[in-house]
Amino acid sequence: MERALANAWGRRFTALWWDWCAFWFYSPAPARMRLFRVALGSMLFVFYSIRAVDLMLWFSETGIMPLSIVPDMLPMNYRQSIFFYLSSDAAIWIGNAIYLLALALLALGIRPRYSAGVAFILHVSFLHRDMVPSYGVDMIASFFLFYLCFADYAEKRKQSSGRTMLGSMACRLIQIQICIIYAYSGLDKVKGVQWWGGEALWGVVSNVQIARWDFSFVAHFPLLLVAATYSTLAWEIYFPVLIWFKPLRNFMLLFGVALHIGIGLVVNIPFFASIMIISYLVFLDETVAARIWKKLKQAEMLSVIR
Amino acid sequence: MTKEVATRIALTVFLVFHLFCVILAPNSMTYLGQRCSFFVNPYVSFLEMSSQWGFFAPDPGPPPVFIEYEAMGSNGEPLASGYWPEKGDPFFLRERQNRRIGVARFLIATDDRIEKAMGPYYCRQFAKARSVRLWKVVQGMANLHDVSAGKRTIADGKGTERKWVTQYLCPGRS
Repeated sequence: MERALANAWGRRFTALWWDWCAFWFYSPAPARMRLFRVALGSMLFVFYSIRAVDLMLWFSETGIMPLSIVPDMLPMNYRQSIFFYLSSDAAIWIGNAIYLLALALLALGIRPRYSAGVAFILHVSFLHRDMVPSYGVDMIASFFLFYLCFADYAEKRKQSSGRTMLGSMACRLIQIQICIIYAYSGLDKVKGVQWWGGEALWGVVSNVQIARWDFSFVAHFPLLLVAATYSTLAWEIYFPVLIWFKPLRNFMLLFGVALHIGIGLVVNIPFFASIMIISYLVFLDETVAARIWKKLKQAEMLSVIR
Repeated sequence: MTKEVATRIALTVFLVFHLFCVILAPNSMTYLGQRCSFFVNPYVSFLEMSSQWGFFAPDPGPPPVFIEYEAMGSNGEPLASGYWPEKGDPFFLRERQNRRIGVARFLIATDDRIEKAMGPYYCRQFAKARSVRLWKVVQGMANLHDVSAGKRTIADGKGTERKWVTQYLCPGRS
């Protein structure tokens, strides 16, 4: 009896272990990861080129946040930065140039894992040097650059090789990370009075400091605001679950694209919208992603991308 | 044990640790978060994975906020004045303004932050300034019902509060 039970539990555990391994280590997604890498690298290159216009304002000793006041602003325990030790303006400029170069190489697929590693170290170094002007895109980029350090883009490699397993894991980590972001974002909103009341989006569109245009006319369509508020809330909360159901996946992704384009247009944060939409590439069907990649490669301008 | 099995086990250990940390980190003030902070905090802080993911949550962000400054000369005469961030949309590349708004939202939380960051900054900006006077300005927002009833417009700025922060003396110029 006991032996039979032990065998049954043993079989269950073995099945569970294989499911775990199949999910994390044997789901290679080279085409999806290539598309994601190219899109993310290109977007971050543009995003951080724009930040470079104010590089001295944010990171120089003559800027808004000299090193001496950094610990007064935020707890810096365990936060390290190359620029704590190399704090001259020249070091900041050189660091930024290497960072942008690493992002460009990442997008082009030249030594992508090393490029991601260099980009990640410099990304975190810049963030820790001055956390105050950072926002959502910077935070999400930390995770994605870290995961791209493990990514694998080769199509023909043995499934059992360590690199293939790491590549599969990288794709899954990005997927899970997106679910974590939406889960927290959605559940945190449930605590908000305005989200419960259905008027939260009014709080966004009526904020003249962040809204792109004057949205006074929206006040004449309150039901539209309420519907948009509740559907955003419901979509964010259920995304982490429903995205794993294949029949609903395309709907969830299309709704997300529409939502983020809407946010990008209304709130004037196009790069935040872009990074979220780009992240959906890792949820594409691998065959669809391979077809898109093939089409992209046929375009003469993009033929240099590996 | 083959190399493949060993790799799978090693990666599983990493995954369990990593996922536990990044799932717990945004909720670090809970009992579990406090108990595990001794290993979660170093990991997520070092790799900068400690974001709270509260986009527009629990309620959409603060109303428009500004830090008003006035640089004063040796005889107490005003040399320059303005706002951080500048009002309106002053840059061709909007991202530049987004970061400035983020800074204002962060600094406005305490007077101490405003004094430590903006006082010295404006002293450096205006070489002839002896001191910098600082205020925090929180612009009023119109509620949905008032706008739909035609009583207010979004940008009328009614209910704006301007609070004195400090007069920062520029070091070595008194």
